[in-house]
Amino acid sequence: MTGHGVSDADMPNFPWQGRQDASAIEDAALAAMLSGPEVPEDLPTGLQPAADVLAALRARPSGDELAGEAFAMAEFRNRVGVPDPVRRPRRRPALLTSLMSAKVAVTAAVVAFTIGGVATAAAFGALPAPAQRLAHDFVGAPAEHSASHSSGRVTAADRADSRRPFGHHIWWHGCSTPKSHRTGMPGPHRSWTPRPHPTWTATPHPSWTPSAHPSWTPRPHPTGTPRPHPTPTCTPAPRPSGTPHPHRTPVPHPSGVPGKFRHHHRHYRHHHRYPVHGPGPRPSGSPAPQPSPTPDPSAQG
Amino acid sequence: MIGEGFAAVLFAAQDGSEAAFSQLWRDTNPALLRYLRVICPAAAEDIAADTWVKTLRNLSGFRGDEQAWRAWVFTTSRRLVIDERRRKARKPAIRLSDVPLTALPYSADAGDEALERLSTKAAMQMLAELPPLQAEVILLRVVAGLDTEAVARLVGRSPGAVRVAAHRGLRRLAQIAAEAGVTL
Repeated sequence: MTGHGVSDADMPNFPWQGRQDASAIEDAALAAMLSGPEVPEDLPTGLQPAADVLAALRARPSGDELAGEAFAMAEFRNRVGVPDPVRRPRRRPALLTSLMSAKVAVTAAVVAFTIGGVATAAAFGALPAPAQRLAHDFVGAPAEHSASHSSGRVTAADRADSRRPFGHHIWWHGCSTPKSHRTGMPGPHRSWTPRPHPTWTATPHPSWTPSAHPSWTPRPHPTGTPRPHPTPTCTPAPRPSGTPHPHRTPVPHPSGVPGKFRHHHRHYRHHHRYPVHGPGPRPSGSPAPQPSPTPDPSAQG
Repeated sequence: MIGEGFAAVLFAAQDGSEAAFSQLWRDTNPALLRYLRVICPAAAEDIAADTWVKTLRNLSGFRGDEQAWRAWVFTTSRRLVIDERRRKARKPAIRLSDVPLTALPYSADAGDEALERLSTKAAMQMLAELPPLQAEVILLRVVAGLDTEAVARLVGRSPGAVRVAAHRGLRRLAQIAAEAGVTL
């Protein structure tokens, strides 16, 4: 049966042997071998070695087949997983967080600048008349006549102030300013006088006389009988924003006027050209006049 | 095979549970390695690792039962095997005799391991003597646990061709095992 020039080992001498084997094995038995780990009971004898091979292929995993678990778990941890005992909450992307915080910071800065600017303008009376009136009514900023100071117009109140020594700076001092019984703040300039520092006592300005203020009229007490303040109270000078600095403790001046007051005093005098209308600077070395310790409450009316 | 609890295990793994993914990996990776050690013995471990990397990349989007899961993993692995064969065809191979002995992989308990895995290894060696399609079909049916239709989709043949290839492979395997006279 072997062809010409071909060795006998290359081609079988009985060509139907394999086909005879195939006909002996049922396809159902083969399908049963492939379908599950159980070896069929009616398995032909010729298929038993193949069944053993398949059983060996289905054997439980060996150690080297599980050796890559650490790598797989690390990859899983990087891509998907979190440790089971401690489930971390989902984090927002860092870029989104930074953008959000930047937006919030910018918004807060704009709001702070706006409020601060408006408060400063209201404090110096630089707002337009309706806005100044609103600020006066709601936050206690100076009345609109103060705005006329900065705008250069001269009103009757200005002329009255110019006849009085040191004019408005009394309000800047805040000392012995009649306080509203309802709010604890000075009536006309409520927001200009923050809470007094508990450890800070100062004497009123020596040249101040309560009756000299021409424009202030105390509001009637809700009960009809205003209670006079027994002692002069001193409140620190207001900051431009209307709130005292939280960390700075004012050091009282030896004369009783805090440093901040003196600063405002000088500033205010310079701003309103007090050397022209007022008494002018006191010569150095001359004794300062002693303030009256208790202003007469009846004089405030 | 995990069985009835597969859906819960898969959901937990997709939700980030390491324990659930470990269960999936321990159930699938040995079969995957046995398949790869017959189909592509030179790079079986590397391809298995790459298979898991690819699987993890798309794990959250997978939907299906355990058969679909195994079919997905083995399909991914088979594509990587095809890529590896193409890459190998482009690059010249280094003969083992050219590699110094110190660079060869070494296992401390190689003897014990060989004795332990003698039966499985011998079975895989016998399977490697089959034509590639027959060996692959038998491995996918027996080791991966896929049915005829899934194997047909995976290898790109008709179910009838897969069935015929499996039966022929089993007959040939029986002959090889009988001739070798090895009791597994």
